[in-house]
Amino acid sequence: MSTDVTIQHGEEINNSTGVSAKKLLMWVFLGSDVMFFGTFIATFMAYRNKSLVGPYPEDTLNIPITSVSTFVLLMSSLGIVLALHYLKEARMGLAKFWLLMVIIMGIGFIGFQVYEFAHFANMGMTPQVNLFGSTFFTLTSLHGAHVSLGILWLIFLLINEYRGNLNSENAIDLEIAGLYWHFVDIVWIVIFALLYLITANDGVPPGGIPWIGGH
Amino acid sequence: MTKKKLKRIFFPLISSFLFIFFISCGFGFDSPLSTFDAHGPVAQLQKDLFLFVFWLAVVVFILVEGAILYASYRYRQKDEKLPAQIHGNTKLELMWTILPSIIIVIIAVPTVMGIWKTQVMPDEENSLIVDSIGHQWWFEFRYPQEELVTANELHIPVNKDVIVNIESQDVIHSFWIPKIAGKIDMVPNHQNKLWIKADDPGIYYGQCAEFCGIAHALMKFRVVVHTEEDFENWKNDMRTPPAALNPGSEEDEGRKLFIGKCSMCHTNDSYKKAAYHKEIQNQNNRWEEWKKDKEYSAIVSAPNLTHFGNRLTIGAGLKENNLETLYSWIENPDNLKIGTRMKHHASIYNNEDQILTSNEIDQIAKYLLSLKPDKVNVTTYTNNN
Amino acid sequence: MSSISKPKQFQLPRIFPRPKSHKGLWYWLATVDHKKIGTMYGLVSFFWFLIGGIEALLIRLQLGQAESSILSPEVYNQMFTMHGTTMVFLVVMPLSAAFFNWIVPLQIGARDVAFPRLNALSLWVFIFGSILMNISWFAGGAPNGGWFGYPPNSSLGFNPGNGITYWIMGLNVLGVASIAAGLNFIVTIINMRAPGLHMMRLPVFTWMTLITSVLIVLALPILAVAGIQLTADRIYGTNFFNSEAGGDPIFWQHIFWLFGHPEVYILILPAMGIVSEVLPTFSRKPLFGYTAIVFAGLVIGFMGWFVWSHHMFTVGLGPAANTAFTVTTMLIAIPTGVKIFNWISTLWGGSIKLNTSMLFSIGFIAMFTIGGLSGVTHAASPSDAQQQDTYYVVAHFHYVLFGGSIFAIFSGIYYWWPKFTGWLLDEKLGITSFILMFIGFNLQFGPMHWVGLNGMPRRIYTYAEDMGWESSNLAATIGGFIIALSVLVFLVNVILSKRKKQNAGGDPWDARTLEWSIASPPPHYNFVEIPKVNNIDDWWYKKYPELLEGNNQNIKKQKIEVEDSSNVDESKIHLPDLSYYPLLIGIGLTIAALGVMYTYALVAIGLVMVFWGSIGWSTEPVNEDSNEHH
Repeated sequence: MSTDVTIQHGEEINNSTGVSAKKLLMWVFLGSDVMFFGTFIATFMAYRNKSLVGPYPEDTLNIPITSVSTFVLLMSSLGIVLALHYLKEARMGLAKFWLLMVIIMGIGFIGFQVYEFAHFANMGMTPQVNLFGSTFFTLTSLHGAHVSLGILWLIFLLINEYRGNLNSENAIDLEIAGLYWHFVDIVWIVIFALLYLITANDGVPPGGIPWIGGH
Repeated sequence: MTKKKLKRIFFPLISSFLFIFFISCGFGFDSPLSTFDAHGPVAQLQKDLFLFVFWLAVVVFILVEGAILYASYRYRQKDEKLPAQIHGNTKLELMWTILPSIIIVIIAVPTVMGIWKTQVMPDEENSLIVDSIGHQWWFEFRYPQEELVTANELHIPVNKDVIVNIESQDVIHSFWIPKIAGKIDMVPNHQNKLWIKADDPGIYYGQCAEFCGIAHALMKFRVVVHTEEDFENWKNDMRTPPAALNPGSEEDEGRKLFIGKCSMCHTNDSYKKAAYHKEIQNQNNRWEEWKKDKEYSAIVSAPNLTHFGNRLTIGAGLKENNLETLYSWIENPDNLKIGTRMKHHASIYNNEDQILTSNEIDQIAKYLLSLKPDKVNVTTYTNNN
Repeated sequence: MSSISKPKQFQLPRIFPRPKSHKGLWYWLATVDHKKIGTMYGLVSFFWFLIGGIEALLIRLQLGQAESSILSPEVYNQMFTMHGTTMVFLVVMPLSAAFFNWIVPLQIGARDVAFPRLNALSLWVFIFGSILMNISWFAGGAPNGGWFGYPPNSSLGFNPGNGITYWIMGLNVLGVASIAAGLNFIVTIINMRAPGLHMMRLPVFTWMTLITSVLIVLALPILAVAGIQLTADRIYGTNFFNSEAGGDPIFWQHIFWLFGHPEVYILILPAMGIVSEVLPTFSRKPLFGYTAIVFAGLVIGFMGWFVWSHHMFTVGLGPAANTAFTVTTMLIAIPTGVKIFNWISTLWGGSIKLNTSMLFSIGFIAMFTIGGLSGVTHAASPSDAQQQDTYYVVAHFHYVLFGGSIFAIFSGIYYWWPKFTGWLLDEKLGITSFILMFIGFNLQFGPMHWVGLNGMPRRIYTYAEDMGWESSNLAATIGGFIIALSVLVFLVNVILSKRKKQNAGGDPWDARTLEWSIASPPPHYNFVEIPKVNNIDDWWYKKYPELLEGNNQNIKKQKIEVEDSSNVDESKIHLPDLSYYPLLIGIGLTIAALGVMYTYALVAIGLVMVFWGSIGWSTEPVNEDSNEHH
């Protein structure tokens, strides 16, 4: 019997399921975010090969470079697993190191994206030019915004580690950020597979430019 | 609760309910757009299907509402004793899950059959093909097989399959002739098809049924169903030039004004040879021009006015076509229909030195009303509403 | 948990000190108490109910006569757009949220929701979002594209100005509020139930809240995407719905209705939950078929994802798609029917007290049945081709949303009013209000079935004299004013009853669920002792324990009092302290949304406020004295 509203003391759980409220909240939020990204991805797939003008994916996408940035993001997920592991074991030096690595890799990923966007703009691919531009840029920008928010969150947690406010007792706070980070990574894997790998050779639509009316 | 108090509550409720529903039913189903006055196989099937489901629903309604009223009355609180605390009854619950499922299947079968009956197009070889393009806020009709163009009035022969190819140039509209067939939307970049077939000659009303902007309420059209012979006459009429005008007459003055002030948007000579493709080209050009400057463009795509003198209505099915209404329309389209592109773009409304005098308006109106095919036999239409 | 070895937690420096007093304006602005939040949700959304009602009356004045010019087409199009948007997003959803907030923690034996500050955030984002949407009236014109905003009509090319953008920005901001609330209630219901309160012992209202919350967190993001895409088209020139670049206006409809159909279940499930509480209480017997009603709710929540294109039967999807959606739509009638039969069976054999709350719930069953049956006629795609976009549809959804949701909400208002306030609403005025509302409602929307079948399209600002529609429209207009009168009677009831302050006590209705086992209004900590639950309707069985032994005759009521909170040592009870960061974020988000339409400077200012509020919130301990924080 408790007189407290849910105040989670570290890993102490005092509720009906045994799952911390914060963790459950993050899981449900991620379920919600799946719908968000899913709708944008569905938009991209629905409009695939429907652009009336170029540039087309085969003109602009650079699979080798994007593979590197994907790898970097994937490695950052490994990094955060390690950061959490060391934090739980109270090995603060390694915990801080790996968290810093994750932040750097995240910033690196964003850097790749910025370079990529600038490169595309130079080639005449903008959100306004055609359907490919519109769908590609909104989806990847929103993903990038999610990554950026995650980076800010991780920086905040790193600062807390240095101040001693984030430690093995309240490691759940990093675990929840880790859940978010893994989610953002998984979304990127889906985006990379659908927007890059599968469409890499999309050029002028097969069957010609879609008819848009007029007799 | 006492019986008296119960009656004071339920009597006004039940009686007002019955009164409202039955009296309002008596307001009638005889509007020109009524879905209950079917004059074609598509509308007939849709009406029959509706009535079938409707009467089943009425039976369910009587049973359910009856149960509610009976229970509320019979089991009203009489004392403080607790009633039997029943938690459920598996048999009963199974029954009222299975029974509705069966009713659903009974409804679904004719429904699905009806979908395939009405939404699959007949053979194109034996059908009349009409293209209908939706515009803000008028209907364009083209006959590719016959190479004819008109607006706001669809002419078809009785008892013949007609496939209407439906699209929109601007926003989403909907093509609806309730007495002949249910509607289908007119969507830019989409070619929808509607099968219609009329059983009886006459004049039918159509209206746009998808919110399309400021003048949505006033976007209507007429459908004229001819006998086969009359339809042939109509087609020939559409290829016949109008009678020549006496020089110096009011109509002739109107003709000159029309050329100067109206013809950049309104074509009225599509009876000529090769006019069909030219008109399509013209409309596309006007549309492209308008897109370049949606605020101040001098040109918009506008209804074709060939043989306007024979049109039943003006303003897209709004008012009867006569000198008075036509004058009012030309004087200021807002009199009949707020929001038209004509009012917004035509120089005669927006340029101080281009405004028409009442004499000029009169002349243009008379000219337009004179636009009838020069023939001895003028086809007359019967009104079947 | 000792904090001796821990360094002092960093807190963002404050411009204003953290409010402490439980009185005054600051208290209301910074409260995180679910009861106060519930009250504010209720008051603000009732205000919007009145506004939406005025919008409806103006529409009815215009349509009462043929070829009327009381409203110009421009104003009319704004009016019906705002009426629909207001009623759906600013009235029914937040009124449901008011009930979620007030009742769910009480029904599960908790002291508050899982995340009280997140709860306050939902409230403030809702309030400011609703203001944002309505600023448009004064900023160049309210949105005029209908509550469904189909492009290309809502695209910039055909709809210049800021109206539609206000609509999208408003909806996206409101979506944040809804999603946050949905997340909060899912965690609350799953995690914070009192000991012994298994899922299948939950009151049906709490169950429906859970299902609704799941629908909210899954459906609102879809609307957000549609809104982002349309905004991007309007402001940044993208091509999502630009037919000239190959974009597809139908795609908007798919996204919108993938949101839109679960949305209508979001609108009706809480109402069904309310009715499932009221009927057993005033029949003095349990809800008939509890398990079936819960499962029917789950099934409806699940199947509701597979019917969306029945809103698009006339768009030209083709016979195969139309067949599929006809079938799924018809199937969803089955669990709905199960619920209705279970409710009627709850009445059957009961000892029915026909007070105002009960009349509204019985009225709900009766009116919702009509709406459900007209829905079945819509499910048949061929006949829907005649009904779509006519007043027949308007009749259908008003029967389920007004005769359904609003009736149920009024039932809940009369039912839980004594719990919120400690005093009762007058019954005579209540019944008068019900009778007027019932008559006015049926007069307004009943004839719409026939006039729709008689060909009257929707969303038209006027109609010709010779259409034969005038009588039905005049009747509808009169009905609308009768409804207005009934709402007036309700307001008079509130004022007069407040003066009279007829004491209600904790359990005026001899009800069944936990919220009735505590004082009215409850103390701010809700329960002196978190209850240990042994049954569904646990409070009922505490009062009538003989029922548990299988007795059904001459049951004696135990002398059980509601919890007495007079001897409680409040210093031992830890509830979260007040916080103004949710308010700050609510304002910041709205300013940022405004900035999207006007200037990036506002976006920057708004985002700074949001970030400031977020960091403030995460560095602020739940309680100042314990130095613990989330």
